[in-house]
Amino acid sequence: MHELSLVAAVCDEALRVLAREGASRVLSIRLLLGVLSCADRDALALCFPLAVRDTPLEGARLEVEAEPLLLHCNECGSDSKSWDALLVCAVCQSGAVEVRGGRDLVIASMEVQ
Amino acid sequence: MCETCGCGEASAHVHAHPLAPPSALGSGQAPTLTLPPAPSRHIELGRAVLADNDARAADNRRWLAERGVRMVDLISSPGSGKTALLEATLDALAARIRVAIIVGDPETDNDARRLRGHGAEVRQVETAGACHLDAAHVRRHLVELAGGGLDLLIVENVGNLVCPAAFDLGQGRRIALLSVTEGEDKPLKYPALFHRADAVVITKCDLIPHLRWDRAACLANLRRVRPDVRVIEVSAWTGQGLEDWTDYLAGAP
Repeated sequence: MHELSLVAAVCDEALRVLAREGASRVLSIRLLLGVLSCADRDALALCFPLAVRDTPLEGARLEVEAEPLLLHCNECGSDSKSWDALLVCAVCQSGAVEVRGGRDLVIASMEVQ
Repeated sequence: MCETCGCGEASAHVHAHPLAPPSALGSGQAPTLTLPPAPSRHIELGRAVLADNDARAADNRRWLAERGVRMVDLISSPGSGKTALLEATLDALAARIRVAIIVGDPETDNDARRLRGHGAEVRQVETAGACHLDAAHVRRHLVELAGGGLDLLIVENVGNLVCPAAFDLGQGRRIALLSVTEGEDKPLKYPALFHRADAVVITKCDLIPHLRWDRAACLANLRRVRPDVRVIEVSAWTGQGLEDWTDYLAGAP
């Protein structure tokens, strides 16, 4: 359970963006949660209100969107998506695939005012 | 603000614009204006949440590379035999190369005490309940452990198959340990770790005669999440596979 560390890192970045943009508050933060990101959506949602309390981020909405694995097959050349964490090409079932997305937890965007 | 008309300009200026209606002026006090809310703005970021840790890990990696020090990160569940394997590893390696160890645990320095006396400097990081080591934890010990010359720094991460996988420490190789008592399907249950592992060490192989251990199934499961993974099968108790393991470590980038 390292989601509090992750949420703290999200808050650090959101505060930096707030200062850089000269905005006064954050309305929402959108995260992309990759299948292989090692993070749990519910735990993120649980930690967020605790992390933002008494900070300029208080009241911001956290949106978490799941992101599938993006696989590129080195055998048949096709790109496919996978919602489970198996590294198998959806087209030819080869295991010779590269992961091109869905590995990380990413701050996709923010809405500021 | 201009007190005559509330126009927002400095107070002393010519009123070329029409005065505000009398009702808004009241009894000579400045009218209260309600500004419309600032429009909200959408900002695209696309930044990894752990980018700060990744940057610190890259610093560690550069620092180690400049000094010719290799670092490996050992990750496994609690009780998979990391410390026993490291005791045997140090006994085999410490005479050949200079080795140091950083051990992470939520509490106690039991592991560091076990590992001392085997020919390596050992530093314990008590994470105060945290479930993983991060690049900053490692950084705090680098200068002291590796500044005077070192060949291999082994990080024994906090026993956990989930969180440590997300935190780059600056290691050259990430190594997952899987003991034969844990079951063949661990790679499928914890794919994030096994997907990121450069090598998997299967430990406690001396226990296989007492277990229903399906080696082929375990290897097939590993390859489903990391097709090209290197597998090393060992027993710290009997010494099986230890030479492969120590050769791998001694040659790790």
